[in-house]
Amino acid sequence: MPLLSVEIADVTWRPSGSDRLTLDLRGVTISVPAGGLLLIDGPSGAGKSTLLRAIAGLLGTVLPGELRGTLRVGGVDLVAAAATESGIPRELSERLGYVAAGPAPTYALPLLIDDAALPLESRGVPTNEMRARIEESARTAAVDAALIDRSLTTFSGGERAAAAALVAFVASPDLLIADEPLGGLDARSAERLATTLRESGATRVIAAHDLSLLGSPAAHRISLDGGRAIAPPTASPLPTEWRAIRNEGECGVPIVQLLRATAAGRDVRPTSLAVLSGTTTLLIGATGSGKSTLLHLAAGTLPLDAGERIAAPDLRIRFAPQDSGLLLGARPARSLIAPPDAARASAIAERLEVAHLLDVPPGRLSDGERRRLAIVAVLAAAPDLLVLDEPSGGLDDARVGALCDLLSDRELLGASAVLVATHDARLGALSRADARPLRQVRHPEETSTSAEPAEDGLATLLPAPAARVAESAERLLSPELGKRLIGTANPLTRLALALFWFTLSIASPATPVAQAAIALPVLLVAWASGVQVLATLRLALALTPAIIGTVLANLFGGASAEEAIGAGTRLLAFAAGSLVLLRPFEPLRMADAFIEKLRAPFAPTMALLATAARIPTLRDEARERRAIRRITRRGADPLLLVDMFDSVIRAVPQLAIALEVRGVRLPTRHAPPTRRRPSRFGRADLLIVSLSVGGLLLSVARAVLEAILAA
Amino acid sequence: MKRSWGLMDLVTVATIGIASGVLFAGWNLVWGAASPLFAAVLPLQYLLFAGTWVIAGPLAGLIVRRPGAALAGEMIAASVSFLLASQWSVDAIFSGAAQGIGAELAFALVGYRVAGWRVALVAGALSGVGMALHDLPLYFPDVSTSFAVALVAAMVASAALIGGLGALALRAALRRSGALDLIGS
Repeated sequence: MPLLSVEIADVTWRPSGSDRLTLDLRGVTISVPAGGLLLIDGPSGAGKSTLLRAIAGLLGTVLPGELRGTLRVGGVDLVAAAATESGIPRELSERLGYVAAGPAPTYALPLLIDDAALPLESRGVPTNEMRARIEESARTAAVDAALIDRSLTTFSGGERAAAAALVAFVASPDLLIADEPLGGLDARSAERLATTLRESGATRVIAAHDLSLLGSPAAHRISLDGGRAIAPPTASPLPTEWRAIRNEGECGVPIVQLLRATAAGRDVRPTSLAVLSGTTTLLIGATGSGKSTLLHLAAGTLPLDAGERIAAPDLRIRFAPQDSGLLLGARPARSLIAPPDAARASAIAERLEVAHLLDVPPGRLSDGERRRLAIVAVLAAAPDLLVLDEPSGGLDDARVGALCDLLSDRELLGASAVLVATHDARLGALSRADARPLRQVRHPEETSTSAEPAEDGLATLLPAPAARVAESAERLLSPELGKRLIGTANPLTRLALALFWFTLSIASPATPVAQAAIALPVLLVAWASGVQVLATLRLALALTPAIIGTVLANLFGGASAEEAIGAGTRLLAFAAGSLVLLRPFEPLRMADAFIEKLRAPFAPTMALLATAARIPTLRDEARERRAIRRITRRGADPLLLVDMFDSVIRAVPQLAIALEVRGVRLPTRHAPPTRRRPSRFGRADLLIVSLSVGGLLLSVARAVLEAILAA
Repeated sequence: MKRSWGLMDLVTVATIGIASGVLFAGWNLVWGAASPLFAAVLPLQYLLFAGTWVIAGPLAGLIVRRPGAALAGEMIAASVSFLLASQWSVDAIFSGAAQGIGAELAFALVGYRVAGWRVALVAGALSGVGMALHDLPLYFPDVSTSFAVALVAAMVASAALIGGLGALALRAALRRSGALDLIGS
């Protein structure tokens, strides 16, 4: 099949709800031949992503708004296609690969292998070829093979960018569209991926604020600013000289010290760090080396797993996280700035060219603008400790220069200690004197400098026999043993049984004996289906007041004591029934089962389950948002609920795009011909079904016995 | 405006449902913890707390004006609260369906065209009716008539005020922040 050409002429885009064009290419004609390369550059917010989305056929289809002009990809008129009910022809969209890097999550499903399999599934690639193609694509995109089976939620910003490239490559696209593909990558990975992109045989359209790695003499090039095409900048915008921080002879006093600190659930080794007042510490490290975790530990926004954190009392800390949305929430930056700091904030905003945006809700701001506003908000408070995570992400060279000026302005910073994590070499000039190269912790073979051995947890501290007992106790309490022996039951079986037990409880009289005869066997079923004892205890804890409340309420409502206790016991039976399905919580297995066994439509099911798979992320984000707010001592904030809904809705277009570019789209094919994870029934299902039948017999026996006794 | 569902609508409804479900799961615990305190004045507990559980239906219906959005939103939220932690087990899904049908009716009555405060209020109130129709026979089969009437009144009022008008306020805040522009609502 021939490669795809791209023709653009007079294209404009007005997003719905906006009265201005965010992309205005009237009078601009670009023609990229099949196999050619188009490079798009421009500062943050210039409209690069918008143009890419237009070429990917996302505007006017997935994203609402008005697309005009001429836009042909492989001869297909995308403007006309967008206006039709069926959108872009599937034959065309299946030949596109789309990389969207940046701070927002760009994956559809949490496990990289599932996410990468999605485009293959929707294109009907046979199941047994999937793994090989994903591994091949991983090599192309410079993704470590060990990452394939890991969850994207544990990836660093840079690893996520590389994974996005992997997913775009996996279906061997004829047209590759890449939005800041090198964003977040350290220099070495960036170079590798850039080479792949330069040498790829496909037609490529690549946008980046820095094209130095991607440039090629054969490339077509367009520079954007404010949504319009401009003449490409001729001279290098790099400032000729950046001031390096002088630390005034290490005069600072330690305000935060970390001693062999580690964080639970994060893959980092014990780290020690001292932050001195009046100094700037730059954490430079490769992608995925644990920089963000260290920042969180230093700021106190992540609890310590081991080690110690010593902080000066009444320390005023401000934290600008990698995802600025976590700090800004749904409100204008101004709302984060205390009135006495307003003048200072305006001055700082002026220097970062965002003074006019201080009162704008972060709705339509670009990533770069939001990042700069977050920096203004934290810097304005003149904190004792200022923590910045990747402050230069999404910023062009001129703005990074302004940021460097700001962060080396000791008159402005006063005695603030500044702690910056970055992979960005452009910030390197900030702190030559005090740069602290971070150990590469995930890839120990690449580092010989790491001196501290990893902690081996509790086991090494206990004498051997005690450790063995503790170990086997842990194994018995966890569902792993059962899982190994009989596997995990199919979610469909568990759902059916939860319904069965519920119905049985409803059908049985609300007497304590009848309901207890249900609650006890269903607990057995739940444990057999792989529920942890701990989860049961936690549920019991939450349930106790609810049961007491129900019993009391029925009593006060005029019910007899037995009726009231019966109603309470029924609640117990319900809860036990819910345990069967409650754990393990496997949205993807459930989606597979629904699509395969119940013929649920593919796209809506995947959309629902891809969203559901975000729940852990949602909770982590909520926790991080609370932690960041807590250190600013803002107290309880009723608007946190709005912030939560704001951030999840803001993520909707990204998820919709992620699904669309992976081929999960409407109108839907009922079931894709191949599945990476076939849904099966096995021994585990047989076990819990038999146990449930036993439970039913127990209830029948109980009813018969009661009838005989009554007679 | 296109009448059929798009990918963006699907993801939006799923997102609203799931975020609300996480909220519900937390609310289940709050409810459970407050239960002993309100045992003597249960209608008051319903009045103060119950409306939160129906917010997903009106919110989804207000933001995505498509047939089925309110019902789907409330049912997804109820399912998520069940999967995360619910003392009511699978019944959470059934009560979600009863409440969601109530909200859906309100939007269907205006042909999914209008989404102002009146629709929001009615959607909330009808969710409350759904809650009453589901909860009363199941959890309070033997209570006196006057107690039942007080419970129903509390459910409907709470659902209309917290669920209906709460969803409206939430939508207004989201509209101010610009988030709704991004999804074309």
